[in-house]
Amino acid sequence: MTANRDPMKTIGHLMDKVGDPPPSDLEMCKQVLRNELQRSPAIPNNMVLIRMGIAAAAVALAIAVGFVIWAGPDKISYRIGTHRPTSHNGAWISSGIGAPIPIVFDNGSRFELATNSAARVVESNNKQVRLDLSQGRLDANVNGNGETEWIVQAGPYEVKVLGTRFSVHFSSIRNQLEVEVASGKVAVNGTQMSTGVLLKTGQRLVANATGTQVQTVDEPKHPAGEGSLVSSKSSKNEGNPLDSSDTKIETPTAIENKANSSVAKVQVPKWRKHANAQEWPEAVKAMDNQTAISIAQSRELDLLWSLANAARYSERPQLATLFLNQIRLRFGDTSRGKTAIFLLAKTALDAHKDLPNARKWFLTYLKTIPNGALAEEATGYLMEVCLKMNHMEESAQFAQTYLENYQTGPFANRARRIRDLSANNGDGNP
Amino acid sequence: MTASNIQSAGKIVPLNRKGYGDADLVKEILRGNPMATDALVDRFGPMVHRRVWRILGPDSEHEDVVQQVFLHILHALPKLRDHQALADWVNKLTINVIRKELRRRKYRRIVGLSTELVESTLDTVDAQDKICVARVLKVMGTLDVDLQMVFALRFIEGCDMNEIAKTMGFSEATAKRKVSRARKIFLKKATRDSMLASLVNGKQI
Repeated sequence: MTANRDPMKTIGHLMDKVGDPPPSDLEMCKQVLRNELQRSPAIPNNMVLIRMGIAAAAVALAIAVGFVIWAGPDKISYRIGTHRPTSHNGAWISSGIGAPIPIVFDNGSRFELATNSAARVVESNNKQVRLDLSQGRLDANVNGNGETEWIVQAGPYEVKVLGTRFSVHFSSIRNQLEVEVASGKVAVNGTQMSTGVLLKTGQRLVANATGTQVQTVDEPKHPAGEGSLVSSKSSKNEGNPLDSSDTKIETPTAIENKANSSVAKVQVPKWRKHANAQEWPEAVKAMDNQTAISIAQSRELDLLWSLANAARYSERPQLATLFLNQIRLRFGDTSRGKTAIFLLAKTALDAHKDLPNARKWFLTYLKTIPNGALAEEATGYLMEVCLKMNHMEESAQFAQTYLENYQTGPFANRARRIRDLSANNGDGNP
Repeated sequence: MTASNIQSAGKIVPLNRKGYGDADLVKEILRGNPMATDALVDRFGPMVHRRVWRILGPDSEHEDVVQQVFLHILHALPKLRDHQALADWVNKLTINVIRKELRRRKYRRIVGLSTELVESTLDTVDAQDKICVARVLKVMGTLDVDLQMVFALRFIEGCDMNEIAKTMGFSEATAKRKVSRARKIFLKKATRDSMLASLVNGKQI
């Protein structure tokens, strides 16, 4: 390093070498926020409530006056799964890892929310029906009458239906849209697209931040679900789709019955059967990584705890780490949440021989609960881990701490040797 | 994939669809829209991530601190009156969380537990510089928390006095005074360290 008049500039240049942080796991952060939002949705403060109250009163008055003049568009009711028909909009529908969830409108249009997906109905009237797909896949079979606009919004994109069967798949992680048209036409737009695109039967669009591509497919990749068979004649506006005299068009009840029977045929996942029977090793054996990631979002602490321990004993340390981390993050105030930190360390040490991570977690455990039930073990393991990492001074410090607090513990003899050797020559190997 | 791969015919007049402005984003989060919290992390994540990294140093609890910041943002959002000032508010809140974290670490150091540097993240830094970085962070850690913050903002992040004052909630005069004090104390302590002494005295190491 050369001489520099301003020492602080030298310090600044030195710290610049630390550089920018490595790519962050912001996806984990997003998931944590989503879970938190579900747990305790943000509640407006008093001033906002007051303002909302005033605004609501003004709106109610305006509606009362306006209703006299204009009745407004007619609502289109819809049914979510087997629930009663509703025309109230806004609530999120989340499908989890169970069966897909049908959303069936009174006019016969049907959407099916695939597993691990979330969507909601934003608007539902005879002028416009708008669904908001936040994540996952939505299969659609729209019975267009030419008067109602059908729109699926997904992230920064909008898919406008022009009477068709199609699928929309949106990944919020990759911010990528896939639309496949089985029959009819859709128009796709988005703030990340330089121009809108018209998709026809047999075309698939993939759009993300880097660009847009349209492919021709032989068969639809994501055909609309079983039971959703409104014929393509519907796109030609042939009469009232609810007219039962037209035997080719299925009534909502018929569609619903098919949906229910197809739901009834869906198997309970194998892992869940084992979990219900408390057969934890079998449950862990039956799950793949994708399933495990979904299960890790569960709010059931007992389930996560049992699976984490089963994964540890079944020599599936990555799974164990996944579940333990979720327990730590989301149930950190509980005793299991704190013990999970210790177990993360042990898993890192035993299974991965990952000394730096083991050290990190043992240290975190001691910082979190210095007098916790596993503090003795954590201190002992830290002593060993630091020794293996050739951090002699640190190992000796932990040895000293151990001897001060746990003179007759299982690590005591080892701690004495490390302490003595370090005092004598600072050399490595006891 | 590029726009030139578009094969279908015809252009469509784009529908009028705005992205989230700051005020819209706040409104959507308060409504409980999970996409809006994703957008919040996308928008401010890199800034928070970098700020935590640069002020606390590259240590093993970095990701947890970043998550803490966003959890604080989520819980405190209903108190934000001026939705347009979201960016400044997030910045201040980040600094507050970092400040609390520094206090916590100070206490842990007193009881003999230190936060460790993640050395693997400094793989591109040579051994000598790595030692110097660790020592700089150690000396910084002995400063009073506010002085540590202003030191990092001024000499590591390169913020000007106005920005420091705004971020920390001081007047500009107070910011200048604290920066000057932090510098003085840091240099005094650094000269007691054999490696840092050479560095701050500008001698060839």
